Amino acid sequence: MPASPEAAPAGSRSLGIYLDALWSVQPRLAVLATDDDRPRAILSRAGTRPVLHLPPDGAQLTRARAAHAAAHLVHGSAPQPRAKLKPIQRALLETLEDARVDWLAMQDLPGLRTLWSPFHVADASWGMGFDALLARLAHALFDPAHADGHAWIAKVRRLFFAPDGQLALDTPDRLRDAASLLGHDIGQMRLPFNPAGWRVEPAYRDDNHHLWIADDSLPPSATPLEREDADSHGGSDEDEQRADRPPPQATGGADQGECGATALWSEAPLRMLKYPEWDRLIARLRPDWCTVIESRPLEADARALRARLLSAARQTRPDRRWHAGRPGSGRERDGEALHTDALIEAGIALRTRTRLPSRLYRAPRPHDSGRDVLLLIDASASTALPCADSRPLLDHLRDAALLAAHALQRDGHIVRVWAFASDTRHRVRVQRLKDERDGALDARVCARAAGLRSHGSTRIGAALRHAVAHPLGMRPAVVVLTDGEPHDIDVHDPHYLLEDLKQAVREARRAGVQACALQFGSADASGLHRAFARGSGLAVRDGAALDDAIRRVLGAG
Amino acid sequence: MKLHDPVAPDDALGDWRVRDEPWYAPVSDEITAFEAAHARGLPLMLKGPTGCGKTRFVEHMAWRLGLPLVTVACHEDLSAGDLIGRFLLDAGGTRWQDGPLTRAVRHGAICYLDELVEARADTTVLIHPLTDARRQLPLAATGELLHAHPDFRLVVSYNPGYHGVHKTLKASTRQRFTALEFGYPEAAREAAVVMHESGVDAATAQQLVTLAERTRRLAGDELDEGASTRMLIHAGLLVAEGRAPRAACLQAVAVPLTDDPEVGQALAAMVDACIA
Repeated sequence: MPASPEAAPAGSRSLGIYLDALWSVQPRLAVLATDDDRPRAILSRAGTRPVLHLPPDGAQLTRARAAHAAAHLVHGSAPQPRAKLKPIQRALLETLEDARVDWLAMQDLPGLRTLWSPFHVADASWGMGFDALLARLAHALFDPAHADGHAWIAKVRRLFFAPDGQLALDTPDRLRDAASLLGHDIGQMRLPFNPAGWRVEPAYRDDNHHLWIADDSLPPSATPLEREDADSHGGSDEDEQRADRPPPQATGGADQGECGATALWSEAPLRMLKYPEWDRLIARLRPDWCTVIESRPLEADARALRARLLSAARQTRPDRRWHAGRPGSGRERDGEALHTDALIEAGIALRTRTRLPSRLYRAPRPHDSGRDVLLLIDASASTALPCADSRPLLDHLRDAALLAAHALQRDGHIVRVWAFASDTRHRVRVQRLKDERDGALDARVCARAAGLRSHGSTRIGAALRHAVAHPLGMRPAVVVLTDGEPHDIDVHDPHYLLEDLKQAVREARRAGVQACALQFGSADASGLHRAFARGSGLAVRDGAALDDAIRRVLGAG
Repeated sequence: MKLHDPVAPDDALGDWRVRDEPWYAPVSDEITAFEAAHARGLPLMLKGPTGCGKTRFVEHMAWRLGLPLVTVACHEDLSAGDLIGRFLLDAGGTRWQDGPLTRAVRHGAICYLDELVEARADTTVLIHPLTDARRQLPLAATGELLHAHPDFRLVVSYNPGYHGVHKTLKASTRQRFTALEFGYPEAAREAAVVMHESGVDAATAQQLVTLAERTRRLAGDELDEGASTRMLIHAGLLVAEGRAPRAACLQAVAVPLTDDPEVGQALAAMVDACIA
């Protein structure tokens, strides 16, 4: 098997962007697991999407390999039959084709010469064997200024380039004819050739098996072709993914499809929606990977909860800094309207010839219109753990979210409160506790909040995508209230859901939505904070600090 | 070439006159379109990505028509007072000072509101009575109803690309304007612009344009927007100043375009590929 089923090469996202931007090609990148001490990349073009298997190597060589493979994809010709070409002629044709696609690529992107040039080191010191001559030929065709000194190489160069420096061998037929002709030269020189031991030179060039049509009647190629069969029978891109490898994160026990159920959350779905998820191993989004189930919240007796929240709300004063829709009363150096008291003081100062006050204007309002804020409560099983006051963390999250919603709503902002928990990618449950028209401390909202129970895991990326997909108003923001980093029972790679969360945050930003996170409790959630933009992920001591923390993270956006 | 007279000494908007011809290479019939809108006093909206030449075009047209150009860069804290004016305090008491929009309306100038969509909604509606047949600007603070000078014209720019879904012009504002769509020029023309503005040779300009074209393929995905013509000119100026082309492209293009480390790596590699 040339391809490891488990991993994409290091830096594959960056490499994928590089290839997409420069050549508009999007090969799937895979690590080539091999014991070969001189491994070559393998490019498979047989499926619906090319696959580039890259040996693990340094960044420079990996990039050079990827760029060369892209040159094949963009400038290469259709696979040819091997028939009637001897191994020497095929090796010659591969060398000429490599030189041709490199030359064409460098016409568009001249900097590639600097990238590939360090790998072309073959010269007369390599000897006179056929392998050495091919490597020297590759060097001579890559760099017309390189003086090799061998007469046959000079002949090939004259054949390859036109007198004006352009390509003379510019069609597949011409290349094939030239390879046949030059093969006879090598035969007359009586140079032995072992195709099985030959490696294309220099190291950034791939094994070229994609240049040939698979032909079962001929002896097997020196290069491994077994994946070609699998790829050639692949259907859609997703079929190819499934054929190549199993879903990387799912396990038989955890990934039960739609079979699982829980009694803690209402199972009557209001709607079910599919969202993609970022798979860091293949550096791409898996489409329709997570199912978000919106369900009706269970309601419970909330009289005590509501009385407690109403009492707490009466004790908090509106925050004038964030009061939307009302003029400010402070003074500033600049503003729209003069401050009456300041004017009187200035008039006195003018008459008494004392120093004029510097702040003559009414302080501007922070924002004229309210923000649209969605508070997303993590209701996973870990929030059932008791806090210092013996109450579960979920109660604190819930109370703090409703009080913050009440304060923000009072200040003119639109606020929604949702809760989420997951049970594998097949069931990411979301419940709406408070919609924009509900008062945060309405009896119905409190009943829904009182019915909330801790359950399941924390697939934040899917929940965030669902929140962002909801129609939001002016200057929207989604604030996740959680006790830790993303986690789910069908995921064993600790970085997987964090990388997906980063991607979901990027998507939110592109959609114009500010995504923030507030983490309660003592768990180390540095990864969570890094997933959000600077200043948009904060640790919060207790619920009393939530309102202020929300305002701080919203201010960071 | 001079299409208008030098500044008169009593010209209230003398500082806003464009004295020297701003170089501008037309892409299509935008000069004719601007002149037609100007002849009929119609407000104009310029749509297009950042750094593609919208502002330069307006400067060129202001010079061409011999009109002062009052430019306001809109932002989300731009208040009505910033545009219309406000009372100031001096030794004699309070005195009204016109804002840039009022000044253009009162004395006759092109008022260019750059990136109008960035302005607050309450600021945007101020321009409504100026954009229809009324051509008026009510000044609530002074009680004055200002009738626009015959030479007053309103031009706004708007980049529909990178604003979020919530940041778009309201229909009630949008439908008051005639509009011209701008984009990045085709490669040869863009290279000519870069050469002219920065002084680099044709080969370097071509490589810069190739790099920009490649970054634009990532727009809306890994990047909000690809490299602008303005960025290429900056890179060209650095090259003309003696910076190595690769270093200049990193400084003027790759590093400013993104804060994402992986995208940054890809951009640096793209610079290596595009620049000889």
